[in-house]
Amino acid sequence: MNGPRHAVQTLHEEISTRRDRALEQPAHDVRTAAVLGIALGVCFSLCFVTGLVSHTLQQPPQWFDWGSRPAGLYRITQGVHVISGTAAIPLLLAKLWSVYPRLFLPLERHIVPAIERLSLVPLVGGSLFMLFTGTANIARWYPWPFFFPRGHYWGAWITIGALVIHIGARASNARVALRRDSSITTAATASSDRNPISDGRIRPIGRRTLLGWAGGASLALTAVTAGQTVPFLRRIVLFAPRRPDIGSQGLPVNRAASEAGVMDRAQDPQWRLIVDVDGAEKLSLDLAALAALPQRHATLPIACVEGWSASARWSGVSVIDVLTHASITQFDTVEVVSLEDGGLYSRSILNTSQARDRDTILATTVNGETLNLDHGFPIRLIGPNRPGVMQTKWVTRLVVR
Amino acid sequence: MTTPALPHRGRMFWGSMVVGWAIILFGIRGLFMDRAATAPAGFTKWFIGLAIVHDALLAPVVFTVAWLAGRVLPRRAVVPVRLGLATSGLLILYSWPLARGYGRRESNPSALPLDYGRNLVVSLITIWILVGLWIAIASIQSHRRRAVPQVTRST
Repeated sequence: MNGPRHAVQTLHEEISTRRDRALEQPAHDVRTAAVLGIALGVCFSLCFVTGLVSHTLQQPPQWFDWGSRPAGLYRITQGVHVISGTAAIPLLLAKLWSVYPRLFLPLERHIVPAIERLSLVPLVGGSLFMLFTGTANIARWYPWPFFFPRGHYWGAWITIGALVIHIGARASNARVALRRDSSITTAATASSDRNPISDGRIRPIGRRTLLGWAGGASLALTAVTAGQTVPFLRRIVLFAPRRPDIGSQGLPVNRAASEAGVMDRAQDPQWRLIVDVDGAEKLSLDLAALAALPQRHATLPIACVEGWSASARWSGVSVIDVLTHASITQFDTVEVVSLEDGGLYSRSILNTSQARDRDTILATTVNGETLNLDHGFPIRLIGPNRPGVMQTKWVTRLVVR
Repeated sequence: MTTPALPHRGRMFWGSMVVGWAIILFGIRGLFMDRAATAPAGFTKWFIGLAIVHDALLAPVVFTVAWLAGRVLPRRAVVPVRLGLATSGLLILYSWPLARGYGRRESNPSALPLDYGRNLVVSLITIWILVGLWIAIASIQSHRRRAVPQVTRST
């Protein structure tokens, strides 16, 4: 019985020795972890705030009144969301590599440090979960059993809670480690010629090398993906899931007409735009009647929560002109209903300020051409400062309340 | 033995513990309240599973490869090769679902419109050309440094 126990004891001692050697190296010290932690904290905070904006916009509480201006604000928030998430990937991998030896520290015997250490489970699990699911989502790959937006949303709360604990617990140490004369870092730097899992003959990975790689890889990955929303980076897009100029009529499509199951209904000559007020039909317009109303032209972006965006020149009738034509002047909301059979994105709500904005259009043309089926023929909603999924396509009804 | 310094337990520590755990519990509560959409069991598998895959598989592999590179390669090639390997690994991980086209649909050619497999190969070739150049320049500089004292001695 002594054999296995001795082997375990030897293994334990070996792991402890290598862990302690590793923790003496600059690439694994508090200073390195602090620098990467600050960069990650900035990225995660940007992701969280911009993600919360999009979530709140799509499921607005009573008190929330998102205006229609500036027109490109939503586009910027979601560009920042995906860019900061993508930039965080190399930073997170470098940070986890840097702190990995700490995984082998002995278990805490006191309750408070144990609870603080326990919060690293949601922090590490949540960070990997958020970046993995976000990246797979923009690649339209869903290998998990939950609905992505809801899983990503609740996962974000769990992760950000763990991040708050981590910042509170580590901020003072990080501040000390980042001082030039820090004893925490100078002691470590002095013995930097050893490798984490080897003897002293092998060249270790230095702090500058690790931080340089993390920063450089972060910038490079951003550069080859951000062109899906940043125009001047479009030429070097290599790994973005969209390019703003690729798609029918010069625009990407998020959901094709065949996927939405509206091919026949959208081309039905009997199609009409119905305006309902308090459950009663107030007005019915065919395409010719819509064309007879004052036409509005606006250059507006389609901006997706997945981080891509593309501007186009849209023409059609302002929602407010349709409502005025139906003698409706007072209202709280306008629900824009699609021909789609149900589904989360088959309808969207315009609040008063959005509906009254003249650039909130029921578009019939894009870039001078009649909308094709995939872009929402016969008419689609396009308005300033709105998520792409709320720019309802194949519109058939306005429900005024 | 080097032990990381204990966290300072001031007002910030305790405040963030209370606020942070409250936010975590809010998230967990939301996860279960919204269970029809979030499938908590499947969510948890992915949430914990990714951490386990990282800690038990990815990190040991990276450490081993970095160690092997340090042991096998000539000294001046170690840093560029390690950086090349790390960048290549990152790029392969990131672009894998794109290159494999898991999310591609015939009905929507504007989604995933690029040849990601080709872009990945071109990027990897570029990375390793840069690694090669780095090693070559480092070798030339090293030879020059060794040559200078000899010249001095001969004069």
